Amino acid sequence: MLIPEVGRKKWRVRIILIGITAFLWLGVVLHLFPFYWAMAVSVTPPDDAYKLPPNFFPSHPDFLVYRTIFSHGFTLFMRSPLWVYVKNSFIMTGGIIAIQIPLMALVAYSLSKLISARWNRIVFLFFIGTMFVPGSLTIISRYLLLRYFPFISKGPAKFPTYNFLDSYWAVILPATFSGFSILLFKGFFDTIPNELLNAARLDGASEIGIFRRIVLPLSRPVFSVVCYFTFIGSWNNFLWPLIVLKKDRLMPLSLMIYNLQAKMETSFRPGEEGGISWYASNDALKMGYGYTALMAVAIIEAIPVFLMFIVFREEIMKGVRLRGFK
Amino acid sequence: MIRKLFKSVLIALSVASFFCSVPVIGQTPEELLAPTEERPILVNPEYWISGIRIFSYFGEGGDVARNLRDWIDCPKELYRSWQTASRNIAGLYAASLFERDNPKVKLVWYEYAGEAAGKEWSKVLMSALAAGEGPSAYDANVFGGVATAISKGLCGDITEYVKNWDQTKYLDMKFWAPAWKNGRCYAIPGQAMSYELSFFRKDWFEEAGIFAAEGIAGPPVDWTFDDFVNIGQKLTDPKKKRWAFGLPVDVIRTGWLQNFGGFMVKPDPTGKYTFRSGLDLPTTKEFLKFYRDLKFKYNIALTGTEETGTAAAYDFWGERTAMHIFEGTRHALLWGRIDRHMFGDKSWLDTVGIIPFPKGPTGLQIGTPKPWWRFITINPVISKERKDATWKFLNFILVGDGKKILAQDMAYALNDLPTNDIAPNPYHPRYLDDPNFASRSWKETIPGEQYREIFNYVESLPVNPIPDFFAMPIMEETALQEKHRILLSTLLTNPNADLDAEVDKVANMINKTVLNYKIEGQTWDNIKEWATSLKEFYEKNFPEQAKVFNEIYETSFAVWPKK
Amino acid sequence: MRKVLPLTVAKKDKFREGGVKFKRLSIWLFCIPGAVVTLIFGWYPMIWAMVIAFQKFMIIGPSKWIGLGNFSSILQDPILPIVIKNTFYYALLSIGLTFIIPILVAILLMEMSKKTVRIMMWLWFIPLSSMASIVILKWMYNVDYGLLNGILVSFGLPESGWLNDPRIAMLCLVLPGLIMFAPGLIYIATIQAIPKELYENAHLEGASVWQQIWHISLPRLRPVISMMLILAVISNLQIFSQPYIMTGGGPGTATTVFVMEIYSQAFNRYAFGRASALAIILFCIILTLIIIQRKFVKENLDE
Repeated sequence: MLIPEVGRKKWRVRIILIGITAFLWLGVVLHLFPFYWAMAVSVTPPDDAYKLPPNFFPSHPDFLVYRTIFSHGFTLFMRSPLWVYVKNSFIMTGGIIAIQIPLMALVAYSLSKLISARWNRIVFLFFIGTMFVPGSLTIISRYLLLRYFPFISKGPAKFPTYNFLDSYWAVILPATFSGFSILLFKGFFDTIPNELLNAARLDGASEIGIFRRIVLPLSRPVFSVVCYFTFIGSWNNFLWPLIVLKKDRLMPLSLMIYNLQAKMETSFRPGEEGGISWYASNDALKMGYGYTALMAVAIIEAIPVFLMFIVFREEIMKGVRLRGFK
Repeated sequence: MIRKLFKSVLIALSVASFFCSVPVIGQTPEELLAPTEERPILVNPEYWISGIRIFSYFGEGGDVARNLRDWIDCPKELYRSWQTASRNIAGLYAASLFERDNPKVKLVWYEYAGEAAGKEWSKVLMSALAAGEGPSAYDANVFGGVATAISKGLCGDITEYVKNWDQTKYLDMKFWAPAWKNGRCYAIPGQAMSYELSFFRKDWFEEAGIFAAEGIAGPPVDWTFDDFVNIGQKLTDPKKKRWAFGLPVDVIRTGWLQNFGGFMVKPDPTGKYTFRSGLDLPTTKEFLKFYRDLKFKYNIALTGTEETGTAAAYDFWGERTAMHIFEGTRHALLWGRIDRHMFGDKSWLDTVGIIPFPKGPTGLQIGTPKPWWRFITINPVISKERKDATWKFLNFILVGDGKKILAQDMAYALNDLPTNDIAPNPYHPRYLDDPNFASRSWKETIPGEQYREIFNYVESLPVNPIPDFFAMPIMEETALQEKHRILLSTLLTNPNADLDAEVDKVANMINKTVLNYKIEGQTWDNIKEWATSLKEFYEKNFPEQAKVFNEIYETSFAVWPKK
Repeated sequence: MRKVLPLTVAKKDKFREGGVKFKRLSIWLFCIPGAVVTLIFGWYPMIWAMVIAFQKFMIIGPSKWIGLGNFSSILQDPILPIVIKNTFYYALLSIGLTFIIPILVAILLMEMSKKTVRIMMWLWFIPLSSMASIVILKWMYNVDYGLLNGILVSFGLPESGWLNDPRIAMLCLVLPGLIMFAPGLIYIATIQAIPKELYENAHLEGASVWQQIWHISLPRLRPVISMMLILAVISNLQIFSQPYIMTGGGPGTATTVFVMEIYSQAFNRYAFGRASALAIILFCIILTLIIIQRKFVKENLDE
């Protein structure tokens, strides 16, 4: 504590404390305000949404937009109903978490506990080395790799290749490697005292057994942290699905939001009528197409992130305390 | 304990909620679109509902014979359908007819996840081509111009097919030239452009009391840009959120630019490259200055970094601007016939008028050059069999029975007889020679005397007989447009920007990165032919402009070696 | 806690022999899946991408080798200095705003009552998905219909251009990044671990508030801060979605950042060799910064 208990009753200190509280609350309001605003906009009737000055408390909340979005009317805006996109986001994120976390945890564990100091540095660099490279460097190579797996080539090779593109794997597979996760895991595993493991080895346990029975229960916090960050990272993943996915029914929510707001501002070239068909535009406007719908969809996109935070907050705090940084 | 319960309930709920199927909340589209008292029927419900079903299952299609994005595969390949027909049954019918007559061929959908048409489509297509596959036929213009696509090897050589083609005599070589390189043909016209015109809000002009003639609201056909400014000032009312015009930042309106006598690129006086940026020509600078003044001096324009061409169109249809430029592929008024009720319950005919572009400072009012085309090309990496099948299908859908079916369908939507060409079609479809095919000229479909007069006037405007940059293609048009966007967005957002400095900066960028090529085998004859024809055109039709032009003619246009 | 058995020397030796065998096997077992994935999706694409930086990548057909041609054409491009400047400007702004504030908050939060701390720990760190925040903020910045101009107008102030104003466009872009404060939790946890007695002793010895912060809180936070700083620098130099979605490059070139230029070279001009070369340049810049930072941190720690 910077301000000790003794002096807290003094009025000067009190004012400072109140000031700090006010500052903190102001930060909270600013921080959460866009979210609240999006909710308010999404329930204003379409005609009022464009009026200024804005009213922070919509007088006639109209859930028309939500009805449109959740019903089949959503196909006015995008090609598939909303639940398809939500499902895709969950599948992709779930797949990434399911594959990446065990793999990276095992690697980190062996880096921290099993590999001797001689090799440790080299192996560590091997795993972490590619982390600092900008992702944009490898867009084309990863794309071609997925097309002609396991080769990067521009045309069919003599060996049989498999096309992973335009499927969930195209998004999940490249994300199975994450140096960041290895770092987090390793940082945590480093804090597990070796004596524990040696004792178990004395008892005759195998390494896998040790990992399963001793290390895993202890490392719930770090698993939560990594899960959380991986979830957030892949939930917001926008550029990579944009490049590899063609089918509309595979699009994740982030990509769908981008397309939705791009529909309103498509680059116009002579002869190209982009975006929503003219026949639909007028009706669509009446049904809440426009920024109200966009806000509603944005909220829907933000809710799972919010939920994950609620679920994992405690674990994150625990994981953070026990983790050491080098 | 309670926390754990809470957590598991949350997880279970979230899992369950997204597996629930449609519709979770809400009504079916029919219910949502059913006419109510507050909202009477806005469009023909039958057409609309059939449209939405097809819309939702097959993806949003273009319109009749628009950008052909499809796969044509020989046996053993996947089954897909022709995308552009997705919006009407006629296209599917035509496709199935073709398959019936060609049992070895299957027509296949090509879907893609992007809705931002054009912007994302080109990346998808390029990726597919890089991977050695891709549609059998596609629009070559998405790669920044057909010449760019040819130079990157993205277009298949179709000279053999074109040599013996009966349509070749109907196609004007001057407009076909960009698709040829070294005597080989790589693309055929896919889509014709209609006339460039401005739309305007007749009812707003009536309110403001601006009449061209007795009872006809709107600007006069021979209005100038000064008239444009005056009219714009009368129509602009920021309180009512009304502006005269939406200024896009991502395209330079060539229709306006040419009336100022400006050019986007000019031949390189030194001969080291083919082009230099034309932004620093005095006429182009005058146009840019006017463009900027619309926003900052006269305050009649709606613009911003997000104001793209389509956003400007939405501004017009969204009742925020009074005028808009329409550079359409279809007959300008066909849309109106179909969308009768774009502005509430008022008929399109009562609310929207058409007018050609204003005259430039020297009285220039040039017509739309004979419509330029977007080009269709055949994939270079597919087998000969597939190429043959593709060529056959293209003939079917652009010239043969397929075209007939689509024309009839369009007529059905219009509740009218089919038009014999959807202004102006580069081809001569076979049904035109069929005496039993009842049709009428597209001009007869124009409703209202006033519109017909305007069209006649537009058709009568003089046009340079040789298209700009004849046979000297501009490569990487997309990249060029990006740089222009930089310039326009600077000028339209920063009132204190120094126009000359900004223009020089962007022109320098363009010269160094986009236009730093010399076309192989560049002949001075092309430049000479074009520049001389341009000079004569000005001297014959617009002598005032000829004076202005002659000043820059020697330095910037007459740059062939003097013998 | 498991029982810790006493180790005798003999037992240790015997186990070590068998233990080594077990260890080796398990090392391989544990590492192989991860190593395979790293090789295939980490190193293979990276090396290939670095190779094509020296080629002229043809979409159809074999690529041509042109050595340093891509690099020279990039270095002559007038847009490169603009792009680098913009990227660093954004990184500075973003780190200045979104990095310092969580630290401040963490330090100040410790002064509050337990109840406040608990509430604040929830409210401050609620994450808003970045895609959603980008879209929402973009709409709030809208000149004609956005919230912010509406507020200004209702107070009688003139409207501002926000994203259309070249001077403040970059500032406006940084705001979505403020939404994610989650790293702040780490700072709080670290500070909570500092025993109270240190502060009390320092206060008794007459140290002012600032001195206490400087000598007690910050040194404990230093390793955490340096780690997060490296990560923040790396990710901020590579942002793409905020400027791409919100301004598409901004008025003029005000918000064109590095990765946007890579993207534009690759997908607007189809010059993949050049895009790879640009990415390599970015990599070198990042590497330099990391090395500098490491040296700097090491020196401090040795103080």
